[in-house]
Amino acid sequence: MGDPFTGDDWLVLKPLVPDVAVIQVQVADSEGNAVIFGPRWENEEQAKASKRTIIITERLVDTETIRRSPEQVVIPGFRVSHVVHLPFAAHPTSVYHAYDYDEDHIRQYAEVSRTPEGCQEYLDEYVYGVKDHWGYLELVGGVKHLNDLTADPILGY
Amino acid sequence: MTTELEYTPFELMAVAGARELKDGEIVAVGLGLPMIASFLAKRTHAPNITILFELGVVDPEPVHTGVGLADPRVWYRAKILSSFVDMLGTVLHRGLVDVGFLGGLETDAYGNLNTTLIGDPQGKYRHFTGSGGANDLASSANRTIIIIRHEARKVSEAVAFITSPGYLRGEGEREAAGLRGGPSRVITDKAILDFDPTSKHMRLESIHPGTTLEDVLATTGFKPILPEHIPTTAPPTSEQVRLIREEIDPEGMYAG
Repeated sequence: MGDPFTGDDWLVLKPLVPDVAVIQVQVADSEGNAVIFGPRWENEEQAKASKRTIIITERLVDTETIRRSPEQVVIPGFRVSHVVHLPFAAHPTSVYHAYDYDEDHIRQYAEVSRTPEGCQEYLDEYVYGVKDHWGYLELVGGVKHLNDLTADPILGY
Repeated sequence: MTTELEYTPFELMAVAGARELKDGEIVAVGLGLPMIASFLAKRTHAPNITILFELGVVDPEPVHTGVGLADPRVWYRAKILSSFVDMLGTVLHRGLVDVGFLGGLETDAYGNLNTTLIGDPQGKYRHFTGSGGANDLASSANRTIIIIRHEARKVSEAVAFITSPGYLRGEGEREAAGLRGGPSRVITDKAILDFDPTSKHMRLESIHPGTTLEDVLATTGFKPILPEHIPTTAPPTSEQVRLIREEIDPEGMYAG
């Protein structure tokens, strides 16, 4: 395509417009004003490009908290369609400044997922075999284990 | 009597990578050898380089070994934590990245890299995870350094797919495609190669200690240009080896 300013020929790519973006954040209010600590990867653009955006937040705070440091908001609430408050939602992976990844659990998953049968067993136990997210957290080790994974405030992991 | 310094091929490659970096440069790195090479350069001859990870991490000083760029261990003490669009969009595409390190499944004689698939793109093939930000770096960094294991199927006559452009089919092609920079060095576990300034064909620059020319040629999928005099790659110094083993990669996760 011709550049209207210079006449140079450019390849133009059509933007991606996902139907839904699901973004994990550390802090959000009920409107979906979301704070991301650490590198933002492409989360901000995903949230802004999608038709609907679902925020999963580790901590749900009052909008008054957001108003006290609005410069930290990366995703504006008016672009968010749903807010889910679910601590440890990323387990067994990590959330920066919240909790570390669960190395043993990821190893276990990597091991069993080598075969379709092993993968099915994993799903039966950890996904279909629990009542809800809280049941899952109990099954993977409960409060003590999750406390061990909680991030050091200086290191962030 | 002097004892010869012992080092691994990986350590030699990391040191060779470090030597490519000049003080003050902005360097885009990935996990593993490029990170070791950059941290080594920063602790020795190039204290003022800026180290970037494409996901938005600037000048980290990790104290623990991470398992990937997504591991917060490798972001520790960063000066800036931003985003892909910031790093690749506003830093790299603005022309500010001096050096990018690239790896791949295979390269051809013009430094074109394949990280996408093995096999025949029209027939049977197996997909890999490339390119991530590699194509951006290959296209827009002011120069790139290719790190690859020296086997005929990796330093290959032809690549199955061009994920990240080198000099395409040689002289003038890169400029014609509107691309900046291009690969300046290829660092393997057997040799260092550069590119002929005119034809852009790969040229043997030096051979690592303990490796012969015959071995290099037997494991290269094409005939590199051979200058009259091919020196031996300078081995690491004892201080460089100490820094890698004791300070930069004490768990031996990358350079072991």
